[in-house]
Amino acid sequence: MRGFNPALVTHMNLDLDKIISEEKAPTKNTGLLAPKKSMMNKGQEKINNPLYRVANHVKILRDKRNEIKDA
Amino acid sequence: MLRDQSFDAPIPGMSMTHELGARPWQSPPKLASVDDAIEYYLERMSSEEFLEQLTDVMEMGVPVTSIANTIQLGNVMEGIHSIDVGILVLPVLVEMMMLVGDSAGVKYDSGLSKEAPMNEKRTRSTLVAKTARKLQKQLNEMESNKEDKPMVDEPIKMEEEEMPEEKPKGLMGRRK
Repeated sequence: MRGFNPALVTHMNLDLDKIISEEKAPTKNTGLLAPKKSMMNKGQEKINNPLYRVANHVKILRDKRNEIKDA
Repeated sequence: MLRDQSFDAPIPGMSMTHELGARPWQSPPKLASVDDAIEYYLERMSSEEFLEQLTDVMEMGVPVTSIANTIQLGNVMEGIHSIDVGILVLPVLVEMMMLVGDSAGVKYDSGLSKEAPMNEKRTRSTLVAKTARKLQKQLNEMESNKEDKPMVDEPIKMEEEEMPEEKPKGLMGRRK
């Protein structure tokens, strides 16, 4: 029986499509007094999430691997 | 029923026998962020020596996931990064190793499938090399034993030879 291996679990649970899905463009407020940036989303940008950055790295490596396999 | 007790386990309180911070993993890690850790690993994994060793181990049939976990745990123990960063970095390590395996043309066990390892029925080249080395060693030992034998036996024979006792010839000589 295979013992617990976190590498297996993390790799299996890393859903690249879900993590690196394109963000919907926020609807712009057209009013003159509307805030330029939404304060609600401050600090919640994807790039600040380590998981997102890891997923990006994995995606690059996986694409490269697929290129080698296809060639 | 009595169970077999294991005496290899640590004694309760053994972890407190050193001062707090004396162990590398108790001090702040050298690499605090995931990006730093990924950069560190990519740099290390691109060295020629590491690549050779990695392909050898992968060819032996060790699952990639196990290798990745061992590497990151080792670095946690050395205080390079925290366990959290290690867990986050694991998928990158696994993917990187699989890329190395694919580019080197090595058949490897990713450790991700539930099926039996791919090389269970295959004779591994590393196993063949190991067996050949073992046989060569045995042959060398046998040859050296043959060469040494006459030199070892001679002095033993000399020791075993008994000196003939001189029999008293005179009239007053002792009789048994």
